[in-house]
Amino acid sequence: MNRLRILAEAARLQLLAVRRAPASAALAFLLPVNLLLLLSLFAITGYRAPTAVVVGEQTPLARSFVSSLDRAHHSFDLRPMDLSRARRELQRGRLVAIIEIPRGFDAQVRAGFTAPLAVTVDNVNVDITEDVRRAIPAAAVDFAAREGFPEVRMRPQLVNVLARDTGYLAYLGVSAIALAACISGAVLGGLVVAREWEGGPGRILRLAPNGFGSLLAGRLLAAAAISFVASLATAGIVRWGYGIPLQQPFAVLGAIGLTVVAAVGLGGLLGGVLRRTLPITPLVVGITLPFYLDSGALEPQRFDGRWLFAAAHLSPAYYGVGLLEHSWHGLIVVPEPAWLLVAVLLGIGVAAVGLLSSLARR
Amino acid sequence: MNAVWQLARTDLTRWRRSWLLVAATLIPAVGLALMAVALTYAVGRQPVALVAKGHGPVAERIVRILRESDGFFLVERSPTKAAADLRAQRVAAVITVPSDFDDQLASHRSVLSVLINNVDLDFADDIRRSVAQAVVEVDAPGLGELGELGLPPGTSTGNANPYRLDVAETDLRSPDVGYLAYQLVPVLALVTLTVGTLVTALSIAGDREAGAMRLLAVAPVTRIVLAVGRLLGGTLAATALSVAIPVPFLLTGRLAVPPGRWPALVTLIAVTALSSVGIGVLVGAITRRVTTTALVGVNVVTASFLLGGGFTTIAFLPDSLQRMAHALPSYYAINGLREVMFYAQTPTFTENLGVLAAFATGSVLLGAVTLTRQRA
Repeated sequence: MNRLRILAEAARLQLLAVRRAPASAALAFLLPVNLLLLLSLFAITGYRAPTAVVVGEQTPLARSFVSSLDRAHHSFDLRPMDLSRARRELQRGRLVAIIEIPRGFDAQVRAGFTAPLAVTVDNVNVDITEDVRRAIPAAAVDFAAREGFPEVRMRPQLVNVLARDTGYLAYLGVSAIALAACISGAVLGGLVVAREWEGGPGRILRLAPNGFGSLLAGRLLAAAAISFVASLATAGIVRWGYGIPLQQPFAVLGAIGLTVVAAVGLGGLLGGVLRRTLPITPLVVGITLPFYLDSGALEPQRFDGRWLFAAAHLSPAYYGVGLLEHSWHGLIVVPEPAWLLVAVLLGIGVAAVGLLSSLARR
Repeated sequence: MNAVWQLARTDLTRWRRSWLLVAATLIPAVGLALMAVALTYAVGRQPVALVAKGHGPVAERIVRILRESDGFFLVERSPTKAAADLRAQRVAAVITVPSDFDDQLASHRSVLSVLINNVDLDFADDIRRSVAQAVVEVDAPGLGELGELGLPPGTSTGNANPYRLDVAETDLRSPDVGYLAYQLVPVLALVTLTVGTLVTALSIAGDREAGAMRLLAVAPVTRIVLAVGRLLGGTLAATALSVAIPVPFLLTGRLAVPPGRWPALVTLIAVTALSSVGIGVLVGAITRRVTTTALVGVNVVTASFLLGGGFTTIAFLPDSLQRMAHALPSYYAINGLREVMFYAQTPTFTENLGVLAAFATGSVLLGAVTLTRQRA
């Protein structure tokens, strides 16, 4: 039997085994989808802080200022309500801030005076608190420009590099597909390889006349196929569930495939080193999640400083996120060119399988 | 009582002696905790290039304000270098103070130009807001320096300004809670949840796989002793680790327990631990192999942590998601811990503790029923 046939047969048998006992594959399927949905919660609450707006008068300038607050760079989810309810909600942690527009606001502003706003902030989360504190001046700039206050001497002129903004959910959702590929690929790759030793066949297979390598590669091929389908399911949720349009479908398929190849290879290597199935899932999840956040998952990774940027290069998630954001949105979020990302992902996969092969011979 | 302790001790000893079990239990918690720390950096300040062409007094002042802004890390660059850095993603934006900045002030036409890499709305908006804040601060410090003026709560500067708005800010707490401290508190709940769930689930699944369940079935102990012994092992491991883990953060001052809040904190952790072992019993009961137990356990713990408010504020989510979160003990644990650690008043502490106690009671009952069935 030549090596290619052994590889194909090993893959077929592995798929058959998965069909007979689908629990592990189903769970490796579920884990990335689970993470996608749950990480999306972070994106949903990442901007538009729930803020009570207590309007003391229904006048044109009061309405205009509320409108400026609403236009202040996606900062506020404005909720009109009375003051006592707003205070209750703030104390219960359901609001970030209360902005009170006083009675007489319109008359004061029209007369050229400075109208006082009362702002109460729950400064329990400094990230959101600072967003609110910066958004009020941004609203003031917009308010002054729209109402044409003559005393204003300067203004910011904001120019974007790209023609359109990419929403936080759209950005994070696509990067989560790379996470899906990394986790499902590494978990399945690790489990199929570790099982060879844990169950005992490892010792017998070492005597195989054509070596152990083709057989392990076949097992990993089956794991890669399942992981690819799991990652496609995650991508399907992003595309049709979240309604995020994609630019280059074939390039997206390629990016997912390459990320899966790298992840399955690394997972297989982990399985070969540990030779136990129990720690595979916790270890893969425990390592992948922090590396995922350090991969450009929330913003281009280079913005987070040189150490985190250097560390990001250790994980296939970085290259996967770079390729996926590029093929899905047309965004360039890593400084390396696309061909280099492709080469690195392929290289990781091939090198990991090569190392695993030599490990298996020992 | 002795039988209960022997069962709990056996579970704890077996867990402690097996590096595989320790790794399987702790690594997801460590990973998610590192994720929380990574998040602190990811949502922080962005590098921004400043091209200062104007050198008049107001231009110098705005440069000073921009330099002191905690919205970004400012690096001064020549126009060419700034453009190159923007392309290479070394900076997220380029702010240019034009050479005629001060001259244009007289005609009220001064412009601070900002070119932003708007690849992602989140950080692009952070920069847009920070630049607006800096511009406003020149003529309206009361507006531009919110949270930094040190005025008594509810008072404003009272100074007139061109934007015709002034703000009297009142903060619920002093000082601001740092983002790392805010993220570390849910990590306590996470450790409790992970250890309680996985120690219990892996111990039940391990016993079943090794055939020990059958031996336990003929042991001369009552069902309730068996159940309580099992639950006690997971609870003790979870509580001990959850109390030990924050020690380095407390010693280094990254986390501070408000005076008089220690009893409430430890009670919350213990009740959370008991609730989480109930989840562990369920996971251990529905899985047949230890490997599957680890997979299901990690799925359940991750979902419970994230949906319970690990990285988010559940009150800010849509109602349907909030209702889902309210069905999880992690929600009450995280809510309760944040309230105890950060809030002057604790209006929902009793509610959180009560619900967690109900989950804990349910755990004991569930454990008794499930483990009894396992015996049969």
